[in-house]
Amino acid sequence: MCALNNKTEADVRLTKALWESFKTVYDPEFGVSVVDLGIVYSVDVTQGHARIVMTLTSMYCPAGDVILSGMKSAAERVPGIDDARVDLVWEPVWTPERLSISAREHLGWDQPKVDA
Amino acid sequence: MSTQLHLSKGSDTRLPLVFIGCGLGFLFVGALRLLLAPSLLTQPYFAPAVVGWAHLWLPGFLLTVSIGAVYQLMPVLMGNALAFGRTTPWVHCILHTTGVGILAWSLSVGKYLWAAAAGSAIVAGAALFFAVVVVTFKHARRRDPAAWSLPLAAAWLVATTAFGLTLALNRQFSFLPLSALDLLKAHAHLGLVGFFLTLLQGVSFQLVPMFTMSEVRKIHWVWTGLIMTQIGLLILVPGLAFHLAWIGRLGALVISLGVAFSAMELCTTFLIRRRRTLEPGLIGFAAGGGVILAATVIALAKSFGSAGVNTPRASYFYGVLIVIGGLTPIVLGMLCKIIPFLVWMKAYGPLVGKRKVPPATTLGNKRLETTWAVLHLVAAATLLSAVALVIPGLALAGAAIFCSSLIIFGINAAKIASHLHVRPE
Repeated sequence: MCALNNKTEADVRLTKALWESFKTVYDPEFGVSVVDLGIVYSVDVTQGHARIVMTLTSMYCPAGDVILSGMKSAAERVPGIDDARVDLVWEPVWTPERLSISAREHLGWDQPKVDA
Repeated sequence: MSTQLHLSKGSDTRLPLVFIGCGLGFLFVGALRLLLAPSLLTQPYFAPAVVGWAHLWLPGFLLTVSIGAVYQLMPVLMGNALAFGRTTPWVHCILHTTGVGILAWSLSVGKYLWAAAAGSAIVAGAALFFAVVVVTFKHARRRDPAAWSLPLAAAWLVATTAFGLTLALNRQFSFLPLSALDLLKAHAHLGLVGFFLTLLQGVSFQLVPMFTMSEVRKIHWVWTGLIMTQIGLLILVPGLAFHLAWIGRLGALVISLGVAFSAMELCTTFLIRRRRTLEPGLIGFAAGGGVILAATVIALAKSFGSAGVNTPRASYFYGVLIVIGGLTPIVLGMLCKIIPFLVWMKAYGPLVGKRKVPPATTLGNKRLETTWAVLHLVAAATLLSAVALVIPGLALAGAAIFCSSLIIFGINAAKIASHLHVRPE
């Protein structure tokens, strides 16, 4: 059975598994996962090949390389993923508005999240 | 993956850690020296023993740690690997640490030829540092105050060390027809304002937003602060060296305005942060910044000749306020952030995504950091009282409290460093 956008059910399942796996990749400074930071823009799986589009909280993030290679490792650790490509983009620009509610609570930032 | 980032893979975390370790070593020796000889605080500030002790703190502790931090931060800020490869900073490390060790000893016993030899090694190291920083900066595209502060600070460092070498030679051969005290003041301000303040006025606006999830709102204020400090110092140094009172006053005024601009924007950056809870290290950094601001007011009062603040004792108080009250908590506070990060990068960086790793912020112990910060504050207040009131007993008490604060800081640093024994699976 085919899912949305010509994706197989396996692709959709693997995409969900990847998002779950990325919740274990933390920013070392804030102790918040990359998913809760809102720096993962898209995850796409096609026949076991994963493509992750993400950004960093700053162009001068000193842990940038570690986070990017950690994302690749976390993706390739998911059973069914043969290889993963991580693309770093700077558009759209990351802003704190992308923080999840749990990230805001963790940081003590009381501004409520407004969904677009 | 992006090739715009030159971070963990390309950088050598051992280099900054060795610089930081050596800098902390100088600090421990300096604190122990004060504990064994508290009269250092009750002697005149220009006594050889005091000058030697001050060099354990300034080029010894503060400068060594700052250089290590610059070598670590520069590739991140510039998006380029350090120029001239990895060997040059290590040569700098050897020249600098050896030179400072000999310099502090030789100045305290009045052996000025030895001081000049040690100073030559420090100048050579500073020249290497300048070359690395300037060429790395030249190859980069970033041109904001944080980036500009690095070559500017490196240039002032070369000027400061060369000036210091000249002073040591002058003490031996007496070839400069100027007051040795005036020259000493000019040398001290070259280093304090030129290197440390310049670095703070630039790099703080990278580090504070990064650690607190904040942003710089008025970058023109940051520019104004940095530029005014550079202009002010160019005026202040000849004013002090040649004892030209009005030139010195003008220089002090321009620098003070520069500090005010930077301070206002740094306050805003702290106030609008998203990470609301400030860690002890950042509180220490902010408190030290506040003390620098207070010291600027004293500097203005001194240069405009207010009664009671233009005595040698007041000058000593002013120096201790800046170094122990201001710069030391700033640097140690930042180390509460930098040491865990460097250890984390080395111990856990390769494991990210492969297994669960602790955040860098959990490697240290917050209770120990808070204890350090409180003890440091009490020690600084006690030591400043000892200088102002010339009471040796207070100096001893202050030194004991300060050593206690350092022991706490050291235990926390050792706890963090113990994570280096984690081996990748």
